[in-house]
Order: sequence, then structure tokens, then C-alpha cells
Amino acid sequence: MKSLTFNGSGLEYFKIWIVNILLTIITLGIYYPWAKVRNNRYLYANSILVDKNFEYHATGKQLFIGYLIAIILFVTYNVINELFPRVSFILLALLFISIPWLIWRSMKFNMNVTSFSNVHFKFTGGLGQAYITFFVYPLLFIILSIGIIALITTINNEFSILLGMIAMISLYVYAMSYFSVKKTNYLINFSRYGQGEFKTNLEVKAFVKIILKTILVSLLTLIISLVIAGFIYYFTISELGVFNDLIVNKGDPKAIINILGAIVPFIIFAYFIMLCISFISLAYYITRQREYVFKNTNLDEEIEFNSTIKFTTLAFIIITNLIAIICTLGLAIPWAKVRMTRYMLENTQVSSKSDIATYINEKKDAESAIGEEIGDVFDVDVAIPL
Amino acid sequence: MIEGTLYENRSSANEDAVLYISNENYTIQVEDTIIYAGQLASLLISPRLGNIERKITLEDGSIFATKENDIVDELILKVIKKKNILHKFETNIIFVFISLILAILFSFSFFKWGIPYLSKKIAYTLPLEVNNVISQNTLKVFDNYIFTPSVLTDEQKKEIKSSFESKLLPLVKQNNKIQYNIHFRQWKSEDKSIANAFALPNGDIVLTDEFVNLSKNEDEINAVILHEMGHIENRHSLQRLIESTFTAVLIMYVSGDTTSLGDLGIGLGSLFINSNYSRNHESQADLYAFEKMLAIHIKPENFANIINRITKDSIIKEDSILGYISSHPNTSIRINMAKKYTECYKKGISPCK
Repeated sequence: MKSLTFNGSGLEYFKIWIVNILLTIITLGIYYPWAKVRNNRYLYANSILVDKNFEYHATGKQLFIGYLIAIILFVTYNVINELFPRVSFILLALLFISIPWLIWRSMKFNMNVTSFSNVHFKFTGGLGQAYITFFVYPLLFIILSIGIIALITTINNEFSILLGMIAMISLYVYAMSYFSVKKTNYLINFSRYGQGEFKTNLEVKAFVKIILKTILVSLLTLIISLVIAGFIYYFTISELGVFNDLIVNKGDPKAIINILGAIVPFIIFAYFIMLCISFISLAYYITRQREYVFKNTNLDEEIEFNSTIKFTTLAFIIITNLIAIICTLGLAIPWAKVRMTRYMLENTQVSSKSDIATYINEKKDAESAIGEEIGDVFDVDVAIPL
Repeated sequence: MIEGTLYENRSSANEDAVLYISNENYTIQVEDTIIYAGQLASLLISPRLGNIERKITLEDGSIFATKENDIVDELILKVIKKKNILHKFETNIIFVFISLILAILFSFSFFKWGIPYLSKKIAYTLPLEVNNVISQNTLKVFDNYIFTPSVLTDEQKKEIKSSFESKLLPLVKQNNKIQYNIHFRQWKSEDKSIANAFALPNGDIVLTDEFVNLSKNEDEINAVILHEMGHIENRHSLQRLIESTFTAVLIMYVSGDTTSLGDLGIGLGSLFINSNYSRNHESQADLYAFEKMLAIHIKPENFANIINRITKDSIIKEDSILGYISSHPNTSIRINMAKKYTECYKKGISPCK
């Protein structure tokens, strides 16, 4: 079992990052695609496995058109949303319809421009399959949910409402799991490394278990947070007799404001706790999912993968990264990125039945059919748990 | 000489190799056998980036990869007269420091001055039809969800309207593209009647019943109407629309690079920034109102009085921390402005210094 490693440093990345940001600002944003390429190249090329590195081959020019169109669309959507709120629904619908296409294009492009040890990756999934996976399934889910809700509201008694709620939650959990399996299958099974094929074999049952466990973890975290919040409240607010103060000073606006002002830190703290809970749940979900998918994925039936990330560490990294980024008004972003990338890479393991280096050395790029070269991209970030 | 690895084109098959340079030519040897030879000028060298492996592409597509970046720069780049400009900047600590300072300055200036300036320019360039579209939709939504019909007497309404038409309309007669109209509504929240006045971009001004009831004379009402006219004349709604679009795009732009989970923290930040713009606009509208009041001899303290009364009456007060998030300027700032203008009024100075 060999782990991946990351050779770069937060400081080195920061220098590259800040200089490219300045260039982006000076050019009023036009340089952004080139900055993005440079940043990605740094992260990719410092990701190492058995002494070989990844490479990112996209050019700023390729990213530029998609980037321009994305901004125009975004601004247009905002403006139309303010002027003609009803029309914005149509725009949103159009966006949803185009999502499968965006994902498909992104996968093709991003795979094409990624190489490892001089051999390129490839994505051979079809557009039709993308629509089934990312449009039809979600649509079916929405229709089913509406059906259940409609059923509940017509039969209006408590028992049916309870039944309906249980049905909704079960449907949701199952649908999420089913969708995750279909999505991951699509993204992985059509990916190639050179001529090698990635294969994954996932069960909906396993994803259901993961979701249920995540819900449990969330509830647990929520209860713990409520207890902590309760203690804080008891020992501070009620101890200081804040509410008494409020009543005594009822007629005096200035005093009330000062008292309310003292509570604001607690409100911010409560908001922060809420964020932490969602991060912990998210970290748990990502960790278990990654574990399961990696274990059940192989390359050419010869190379196997493993994920060793821990959800506690992951949650800690996410939360502390966010705090650092906020406290430094964004300047800590390069360090945060390096830290996260390093953690993910170091906890990704690759093993081979024979020898990894030997397997890699025998790879060649796949023949690329005419017309498969995508010239530009809209760069949608698809969430494979990598 | 440079040590590295030689890869076949589009294949991971590789061998250890050495690149030798003499004058403007090179040779690549694998185990003392010359595999390639040619001119340095025909080599395609990947741009230097930190210390990542450098890729030198040969004419047939094979790649010579090496970690010896400095030697490559020293021996090859110098000869073929190419430079690593970006890399020089990225590794020069002074330049990095300058970038940091400039980036911060630019960002700050853009948010503080750039966006308002651009929004203003754009707001004045857009046709008035845009104003109409926004206004019609907004009033409809308000009427559907917030307002109920006014219960003021026709007498009261006529009085206010005629005072407005005779005293205030002449001030904006030259700009007769905007059609001003006074509308009366009742705004109830739970069982409390709320005092307020709104301006819609197309010239519709809405006064709530409670506001009319709280005012003691027509001067106070006109003072507030003038403030609303200040919003309309300065295209504030349009500006806010454009500003919020700018802010949203920029924040998406910037936050798009963080770990995607950072998005959750964005909500509050956006709120802070956007509320600041609204406070500026309120000050502008105050200024407009005071100037006009001086011009037609309405005592400025009328404005302070009615604002005071409304503020005491309203539920949300503005001092201290909450002032940052609220969208109206601090009441005491307003009252100070009123005092200053009262002085000018007494001395008959118009405009006020």
C-alpha cells in the first residue's frame, strides 16, 4: 500500500496565489482563468505517487470563454430576478435542465487535461446517460415527493400525516442513496487512465446505512451542543439577570440597546455552533462515503484504493480552516487549501497486485476519437469524494 | 548536464536519461547512448512554477522531465533568451509583499468607492423604463402581502396632496420625466400600526397612516416627502440593485476558491456590506431634503422632530452594534445634520456650508 503525498508548502503556494490575485485585480478579472490554471498546476504537480506526479494541462484560453459566459449568465439572472421575479423561475428551470450537460462537459474536459506520469485520463460517459443520472432520477424523486405530500393533504388525519412523514423521510433517504450510487457509478465506471478502466461496484444498501449513521451523528452533535448552550445560557445570561434588566429599563431605549448589544456575541456564538454541527455531519458523511467508494473501486482489476481519513480530523480541519480564512479576511486560503489537499492525499492509498511502478510504466494514452476533444469548459465542480 | 527522465509521447514508459548542452545544441543520452540530438531552440520548455517537475517537450512529442529547475533556467533559458517572468515575481519577496498590500488596497477601495461609483454611473445611464418595471412589481407585492388600504379621510389625503403639489413639485418641475404621485396605505404588523414612508423609483411615494397620524403639521410631512424625493432623484433603488449584483458576483468569485464548505459563512458578510450602501443613500437623501427645505423656507428641525417621534415609536432601535446591520443612519447623526441646517436656516444661508 502506497500513499500519495503532497510536496508543496502553504507559503510557496501563498506567494504564487497572491501574485496571481494581484494580476487578476489589475486586469479587472480578465486574467482569472490563467490564474486558475497556474494555481491548479501547482496543486496537481505537487501531488505525488511513487515519485510520479499529476499534471494539469488546461490553458487559460480554454477556460476563458466558459468563464465569460458564466459571468454574463450570472449577472443576467440576478438582474432579471430583481426586475421580473416570475421570469427568473424560467431561468432557474433552464439552469436545472442544463446541469447534466454541464457535468458531462466538465468531466470530459477535466479528465482530458489531467495526466499522471505522462498518461492522460479520459471520460467516456455519454450525454444521454448523464441526463438519466442527473435529471431523470432527481425529477422522479421530486414527482414522488409531491405525490406523497398531495396524498397526505387530502387524507387529513393525524395518523396519515405521521405515516406520510415517515414515508417522506424513508423516500428521501432511499432516494439520496440510490442517486449517490447511480452518480458515482456513472462518474467512475466511464473514467479511464490511459487504456485502463476504472470499475466500481456499489450497493444502495451501504449508502442507506451511511446516511442513517450521519443522521445519528447529527442528532448526537445537536444534543451535545444544546447542552453546552444551555450551560452557557444558565451561567451567563440568566446569571447576569439580563431579562430582569430589560424589564426594569423598559422605558429607556438606550439602556435596552446596550443590554441587547451584550447578547449579540451569544447570537454569533449560536450561529457558529450551528455551523459546526453541519460541518461535523458533512465530514462524517464524506468520510464514510469515501471509505466505501474507494474500497469498492479498482483500476483494471489490478490497482486498488483505500481511504483512511477520519471524520473528526476532517471536521477539525474544515472548521479551523474556515476560522483562519475569516480571521485573515481570506489571506489564509492558500494554507487552508494545501492543508486540506495534503490531508486528503496522505490518506489515499493505492495498492497493486503486482507492482505499482510496473503497472504505471506500461500505460499508454487511449486513442481519442475525432470530435471528443472539448475545447473549453464551464468548469462545474462535480462532487466525487476525492 | 541535467539529470531527468525520458518519457515516450503519451506513454508512461520511461527511462533515466541525461541532457547534455553545448553551445546552442543538446543531446539526450540513456545509458551513454545518444537517443536525441538537436538545437535548443526547438525545445518546448514548460513555464517554471515553484519547484514542480519541469517538462521539456522534444520535437517528436517525447518529454524529458527533470526536477533540476535552476539548472534548466541557467543553461537553457538563458541561451534561447526566454524568461520566467511570473516565477520571478512569485519568488521575489518584495514583489510578493507589494502584491499583498496592493491586493488589499484595491479590494478595499473597490468595495468602498469603486462599486458605489460604478453603480451610480450605470444607474443614471439605464432608461427610465427600467425604473417603471421595478416599481410596478414592487408596489404589487407590497399591496398583496404588507399593505392594507388607507383609512385616512379624503380630507386629509387631499390636504397632503395639494400641499405637495403646490410647494414641492415646483422644485423638480424641470425634470418632468419622473411622474411623482403620493399613495396612502396602512401598514399593520400584528396589532401595531407602523409609521413609514417609501419611495419607488418611478416617482410613487407611499405614506403610511401611522406616519400621517404621528406628524404634527404639513411641514413635517413635506420634510419626509422631500427625503423620499431625494431617493428617487438620486436613483437609489437602481443603484442598490446594481451594487448588490456586483457584491454577489464578487463574493462568489472570491469564495469560489475556498474549500466549498466556506460558503456557509458568507451570508452575514454579504449583509454587512450591503447595509453600508443603504446608509450612504439615506444620508444623501437627508442632504437633499435639507437643501430643499432651506430653499422653500421649511424649518429643518421639523425633519428632526418627526424622525425622533417615529424612531421612538418604532420597534427596532438603531444605536450600538445593531447600527451596523440596520440600514438607516444613526439617528443622532441625522439630528446633528438637522441642527447644522437649522443654524443655516436662521442665518438665511442657502445652500448650507
